[in-house]
Amino acid sequence: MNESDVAKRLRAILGHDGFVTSAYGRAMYFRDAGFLNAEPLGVCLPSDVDHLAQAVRYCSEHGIGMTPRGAGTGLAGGAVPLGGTVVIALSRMNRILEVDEENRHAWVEPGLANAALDQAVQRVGLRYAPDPSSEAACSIGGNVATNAGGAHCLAHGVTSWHVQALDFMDAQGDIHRLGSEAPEANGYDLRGIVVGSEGTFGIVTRICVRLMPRPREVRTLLLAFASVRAAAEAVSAIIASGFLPVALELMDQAAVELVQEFSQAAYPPDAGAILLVEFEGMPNQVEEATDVAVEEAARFGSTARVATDADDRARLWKGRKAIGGALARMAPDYYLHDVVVPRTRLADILDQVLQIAKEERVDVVNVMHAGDGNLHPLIPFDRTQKGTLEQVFRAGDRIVHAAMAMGGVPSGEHGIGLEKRSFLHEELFMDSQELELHLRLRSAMDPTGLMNPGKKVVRTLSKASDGALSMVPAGTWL
Amino acid sequence: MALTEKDIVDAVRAAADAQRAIEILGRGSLLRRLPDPPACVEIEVSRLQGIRSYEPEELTVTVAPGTPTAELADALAASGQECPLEGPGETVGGQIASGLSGVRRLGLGHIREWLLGGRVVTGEGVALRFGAPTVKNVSGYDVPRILCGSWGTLGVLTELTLRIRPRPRFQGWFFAREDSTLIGRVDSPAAVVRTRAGTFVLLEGHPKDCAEQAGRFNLSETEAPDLPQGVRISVPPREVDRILPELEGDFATELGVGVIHASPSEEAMPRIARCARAAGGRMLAFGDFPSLPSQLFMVSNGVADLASRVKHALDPFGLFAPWRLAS
Repeated sequence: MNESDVAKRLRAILGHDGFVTSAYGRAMYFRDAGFLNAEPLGVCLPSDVDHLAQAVRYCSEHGIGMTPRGAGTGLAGGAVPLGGTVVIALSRMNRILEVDEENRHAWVEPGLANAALDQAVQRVGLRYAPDPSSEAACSIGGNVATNAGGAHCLAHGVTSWHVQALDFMDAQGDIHRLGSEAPEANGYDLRGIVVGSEGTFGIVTRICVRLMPRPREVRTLLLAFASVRAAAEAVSAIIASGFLPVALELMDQAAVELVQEFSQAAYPPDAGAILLVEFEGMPNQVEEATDVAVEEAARFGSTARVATDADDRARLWKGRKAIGGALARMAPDYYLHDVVVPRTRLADILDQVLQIAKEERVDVVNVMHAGDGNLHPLIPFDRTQKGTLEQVFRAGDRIVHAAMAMGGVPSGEHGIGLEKRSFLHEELFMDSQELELHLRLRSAMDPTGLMNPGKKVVRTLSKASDGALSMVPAGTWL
Repeated sequence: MALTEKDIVDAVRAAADAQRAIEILGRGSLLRRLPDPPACVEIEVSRLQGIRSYEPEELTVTVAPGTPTAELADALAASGQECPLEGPGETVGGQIASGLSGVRRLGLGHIREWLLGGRVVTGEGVALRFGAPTVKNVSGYDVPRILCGSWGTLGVLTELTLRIRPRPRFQGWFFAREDSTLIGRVDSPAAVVRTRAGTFVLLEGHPKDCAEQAGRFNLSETEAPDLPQGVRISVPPREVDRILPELEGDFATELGVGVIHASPSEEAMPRIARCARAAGGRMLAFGDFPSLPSQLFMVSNGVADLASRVKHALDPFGLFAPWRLAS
């Protein structure tokens, strides 16, 4: 069996434009939104489950590894096709199959964009709550693979809470219904363990998502502080006050400065840190929660601004959502991590991040889902500067170690993917027995070892097994 | 009677050496309502009690599995917090192992969404951490999900870290004689329960918001509805109306969820169980009913291979409650 036989057969199954092998075509699928990249053998673009199953069956019978891909917005290299695997891109399977307004759920295909789902159900007064920052582009299938979070998951929960059931296609192309529209069922929650498995078990071909009603009232506040420590203490105080916000975002001074141009002057330019707090629910609850949050924050010296209407609310969020774009103005590249620490250690981890950045001579901008203790330190840089990549990766590595030393975890929502595998081999985070259990679970769900090889949970971290892995896209001029 | 995790490790290894199957027992409040197991070793965890760590501002608490849920609830309430472990089990471990949510499932989600991590002793007598104490974590596979609701077939839980939330300012049950359309109109009820008498709604939050809703929908304050304890039926919410006509006697249906609490006669149970299955659900009977086929099993059609292999990953010798695996 050679490459052209594979191409011929997969084109016969998927149609002439259903299997891409051109150099340019494959190059579109080298990487996700992170740095690591590798060449796939080819790219499958199935339009429906039956043809997908045939393609998967063919790959499985011929020992061809498969790398599932949603929209490729992932940041940890989960969709990078290692070792000459075939990419299985789900982008053409993007339909909404059924919306059950009365029972508040919908069946959708994995390639559907997160924001498209939310918009589609708006007209029946419902919403799909999980809102990763990439919501305009990221796919529901990708969200399921990473158990995606987002700014509003503090109260609404991560993706797993919003997945009632799913169709899971194993490496042999067989489909299993996991989970149920019934509230309780016999058996293990296999649905639950597939969510967040980053394509290493199989392919999710259909998802039953839970929909929520739109809130009666939303109130957004901007709180500005002289320092990050004051903001972090206010976070604890707001949580302890008994009113849980639906979102609680922290931006440090560097982040506030960075987005000044984008934020339509909503953020005080000299703030040491800001908190964006949002409450939702019934009117009296929201009003009292807002008043209490303003009071609690004032104990730490903050100023407060409450959004007056939906446009004002959008203005307050604009700066926060513009971080990626603003960074692109600062430097051609950025690198970020996704650590979680206990909430009470927020100020400590931020101190350490700034110290590490100083020692490694990199810049850093910090945004945080403060309610969850989930920090995104963003390091802008220019990869064409010699030695910069090494500095950046070293700084990132030290940040993750600092978080783990505080009892935190390497990834809160982006996933382990390719980039963070080594942390699962460190006793500081995961001992060898726990890793062994993960390896067994991976084999249990995918005995073939063909699903997304080399990602998330691997027995050994051999570079050789990663194939032609590169950190710099082909064609970059150095 | 196990007092420490090490005792449990020793007990599991001893059972493995003697090739004896294991039943894990807390207070037995759930298990004594199910058929007796065949001869086996019992590993009792009821003395593994106590709150190991609790920081209210972290919104997490770590407890030993034998801790009575009432004791945990009191400790959390003293700081104005709660964790909705409101199913039929009496201990925290029993609640998690059975994976049965309480009546606030509509508003607060499945009980599994409240488990963050903990420790477990596997069928090889290995003590492991699972999950993490942080409220978000995708660093490994979501092992807490398969342990919750595993009914003692995967391992012995020795420590549990739970998510908690602030208690609502006000909580009250309200009643309307009308039928079930309230579920679509009341804003974010914590529970909506329909009985033969009418519809009970649990409102939580700011007292003024709750009063406003009660006024708008003509609801009168009342006590919590009784939940019949005989069987627990679970069907997709839209199938509830297929099941209710089959029931004589009292029932309490969790609208929007699909759990029906009822106390049918033993003669009626096989027929109701068949209806539940035909509707895409199941019926769990609390009692020993010889005419009723086994109601609770971990490895079911369609996912038998996956489930068996997952079971094998944690319990390769098949020690834990093998009678609860297949129907």
